[in-house]
Amino acid sequence: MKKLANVHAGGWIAVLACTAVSCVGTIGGSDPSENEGTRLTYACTEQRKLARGVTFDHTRRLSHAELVHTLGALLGESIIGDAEIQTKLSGLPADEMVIAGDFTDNPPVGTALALSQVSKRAVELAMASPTWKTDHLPSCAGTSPLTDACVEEVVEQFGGQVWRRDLSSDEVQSYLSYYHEAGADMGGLSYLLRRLLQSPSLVFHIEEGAEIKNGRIRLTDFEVASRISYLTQNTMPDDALMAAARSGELQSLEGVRAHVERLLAGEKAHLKVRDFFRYYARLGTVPDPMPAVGAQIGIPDTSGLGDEMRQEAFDFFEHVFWSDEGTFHELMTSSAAFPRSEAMARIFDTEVVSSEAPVASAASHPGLLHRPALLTNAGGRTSPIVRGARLRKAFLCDELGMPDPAAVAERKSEVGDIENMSNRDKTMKLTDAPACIACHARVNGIGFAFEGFDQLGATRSEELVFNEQGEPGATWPIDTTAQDPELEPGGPERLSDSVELALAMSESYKARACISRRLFEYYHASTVDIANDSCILSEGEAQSQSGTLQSVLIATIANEDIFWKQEP
Amino acid sequence: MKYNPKSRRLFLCGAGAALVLPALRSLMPREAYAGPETTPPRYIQVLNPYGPNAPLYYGALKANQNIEPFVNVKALSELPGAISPILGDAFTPFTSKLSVLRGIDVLAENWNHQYCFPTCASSYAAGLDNDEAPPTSGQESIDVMLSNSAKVYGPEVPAVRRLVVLNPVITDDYSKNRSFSWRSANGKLEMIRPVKQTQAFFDAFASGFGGVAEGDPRETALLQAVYADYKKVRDSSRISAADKQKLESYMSLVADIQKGAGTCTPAMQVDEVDIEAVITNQFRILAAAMACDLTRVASITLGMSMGTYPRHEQHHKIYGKTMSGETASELAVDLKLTGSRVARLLGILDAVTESSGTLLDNSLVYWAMQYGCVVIGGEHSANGMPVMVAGGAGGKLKQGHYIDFREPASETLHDDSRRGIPMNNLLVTFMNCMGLSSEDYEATSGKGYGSYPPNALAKKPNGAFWDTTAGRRSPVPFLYTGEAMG
Repeated sequence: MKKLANVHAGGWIAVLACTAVSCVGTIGGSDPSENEGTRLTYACTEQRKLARGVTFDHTRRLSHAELVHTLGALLGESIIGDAEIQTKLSGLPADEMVIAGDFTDNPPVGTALALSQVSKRAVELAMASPTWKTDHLPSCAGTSPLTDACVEEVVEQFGGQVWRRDLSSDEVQSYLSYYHEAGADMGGLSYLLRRLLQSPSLVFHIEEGAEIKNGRIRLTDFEVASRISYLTQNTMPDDALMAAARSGELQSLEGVRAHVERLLAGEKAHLKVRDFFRYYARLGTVPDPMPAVGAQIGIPDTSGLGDEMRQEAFDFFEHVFWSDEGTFHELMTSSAAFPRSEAMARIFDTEVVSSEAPVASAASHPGLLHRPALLTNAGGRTSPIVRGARLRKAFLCDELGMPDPAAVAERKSEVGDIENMSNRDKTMKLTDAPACIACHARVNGIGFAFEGFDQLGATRSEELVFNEQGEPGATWPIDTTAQDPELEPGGPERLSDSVELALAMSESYKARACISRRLFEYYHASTVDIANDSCILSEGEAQSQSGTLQSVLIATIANEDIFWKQEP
Repeated sequence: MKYNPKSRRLFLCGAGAALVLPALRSLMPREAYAGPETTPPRYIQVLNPYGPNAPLYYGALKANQNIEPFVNVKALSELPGAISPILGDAFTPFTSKLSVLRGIDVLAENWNHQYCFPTCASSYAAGLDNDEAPPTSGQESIDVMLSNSAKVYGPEVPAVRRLVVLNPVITDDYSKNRSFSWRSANGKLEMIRPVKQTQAFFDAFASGFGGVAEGDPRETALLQAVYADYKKVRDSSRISAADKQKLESYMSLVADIQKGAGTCTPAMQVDEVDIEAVITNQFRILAAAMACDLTRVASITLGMSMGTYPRHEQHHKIYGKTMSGETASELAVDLKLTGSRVARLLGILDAVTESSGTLLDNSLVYWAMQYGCVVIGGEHSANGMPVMVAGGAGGKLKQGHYIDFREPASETLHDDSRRGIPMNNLLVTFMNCMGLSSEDYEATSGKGYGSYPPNALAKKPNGAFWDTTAGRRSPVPFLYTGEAMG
């Protein structure tokens, strides 16, 4: 897969005027004019079809999750759960796939030593176990002395799992020779297993391919199986997938899609989708709201509330994605809520969920945009600018720059003390200069629409400001209207509040294209390169316009690109 | 070797036996490691996010001796107490081994969020706003340049030991997974991702500390076989040149393990009960690795443990803030805490005796921040970078002084607006200390290091000189006492 790089999607990038005193930034996304008839953002031209898959142009290493899951599948949970092994593996950095750019090409420096030590410890435990050899190796491996035929069988089975393909007879014989050099019988088997557990395939996704066609390499069926498995579940192919590779089933897109759909039902696939949501919604740590803000609606203690809000947002997304098999429309409009404490129930103004009533209804909080986790902050006031910018960046895939600090300072100096105003008036006053409003016209209105929600994410009828000491101060009337929010060409010219905004987002082709783009970025650990990724993106986007969220994910994985990589 | 923080001991696990190192060895006042007989130069840069204001960083420091135009100094020994609010009491034991520099300016063309001011002498291009945008100079950061230099390392030193990039404050959100180190890869500059966990850091040097594959020829044969497996993949015609390089890099790690027992003793570790213990452990491992000559260049990012948002908000309000009272700022307190951590590093380095002086005496420790001292409305200032240089660099740096390079004050010139000398020359000074000359750091002969945006020097004191080839290659005056490198 290609190296992470910041590549603009090209086309529809409105570079805002950058004068000496100006807001700097871009409102981006890809160019819908490429395909005006369908309003789709990405266009898969005939020329681009011929180059499908070239986006995968280098050997990617296994992520931390992929390595851990693969070792778990090879060794079994009892061995991978050993404290010493866990310590070793936890010492390797957890990978942030895209957003922090942590997922770099080269393995962390500790990987080689960690694999050396983990394999040694794991094989010690495995050989000492009365059942491991017969559970994980051919049954003959449980009886000493081992025959060469048995060792060959071990290499074919366990080695095949490690390399994620069938080994050639030369390779089997090479491993057999090494087994003898290492002392044969159980001692030789131990060293053989340790060697296999340090193989390049446990560090890198090795793809040598089958044949070269027009500058592209067609992958082998086993390599396709490996891609399917890691893309869906972050682990090595299971027996069914390996069998499908042997039978030629994975040479067709239908065959690939069937296995992708099968594997997405698994627990590891759900974990990966959950982590995608963290990436999509930019849900890092959610701060605890100010205690005094909580006290206003009868929440005596706000400590830990940020974590609860974060959990609720995950629960909501998983409900829409899996249980409801929802579309993007449901993601933006569903009234489902998952308050698991009295405090959260107060925020939603509904009941605590229970085993009898696992889903609450909170009509006041429709869809993802109204999750308290996305609305809350730790300060004394809500921030329309933060809320508006977040929606634009996360859910419309716009790129916003930061204003020139000198310009901000000058503007602050011009406007003087504006604390004694409502949020709306304060924000408008601060950003009303011609150089600022170019950006803020697209941010402020969206933020104002959420002013009906306080610092907890609970509904409010007036704005109550708290000072830094948590003391309540002035109150102000609320105006949640937004004129010309510029969500997208042809979008609404006026919004009365955030509920209308959520509905507009649910119908926004740009917001739908954005989630398909984020799925691509996350699942392929790559930023978008429009020249190479248009076809895969166009298929995901087409699903996002009318299909379920699951179907968008399936389109992101099961497509023609999965068969190809770029020729070196 | 197993790193075991809970036991407070490190075990040598060779050939199935566990040998307990002598307890409390690291607590001895002058620890003798089995290091090299001669003392190689070492370079450690420490950076932290955000920037201070001048009163916090410089306190009441005021030069009282004019050395030459634009160089005014004061001996730190003249100070009755702590140097400044941020350079607090923790630095007092080291005042003779450090200098505090004022008037170091980055020639920036963009003052947005960035991670390249103090280590690249450059900003990124105008019109961008991205912490991870690369410096417009197009040159690697100083630490990377040093780590790649044949004048710092011999060819036998594997890549993973040439440069240590740490960021031990794991709870931070803003500098998480970030460093101030920039390397060239595939024709582009990219930020190096730091090592955060002690275990991973320790593992990078474990074989050098000794005891991975001692004695048993089957262990050696195993590693040779593993190495051969990677070699076979590397040699495939279907693997690109870039991927071959990647595989080779990994193979060097395998070869490193294969070297077997080392001769050095790692430092004692403490239970990692809090972030301070984590930092201490990593500082101690670094000191041991440097004392054993396993590495000579390190880059440390010390983040703020309170997360992004609260401190970022305070960063934009740091002007006029103090440590306590009505104008107190938690960021100011955090910056002081960062200072105390730097002082702890100095203490750990100074506790290691070498054949000549201490490890600190033979090192160059450079502490700076993401931004310069703020001015009103300019929290991302590139001017007035807060700089502390500790260690003697083997006798090439004059220490124990406050050195002010700024143009003179005047009634028409606000104190915040007094300009000094380019950051470029400070980094040139450091490279000179490490034995590098212009032929090593210049991308284009005569153009110096870092970026020089058009007219950036026009309003600097003595700007015309600093813009000449001789000027660009000059170390900063007074501080540098080594030979001219050109």
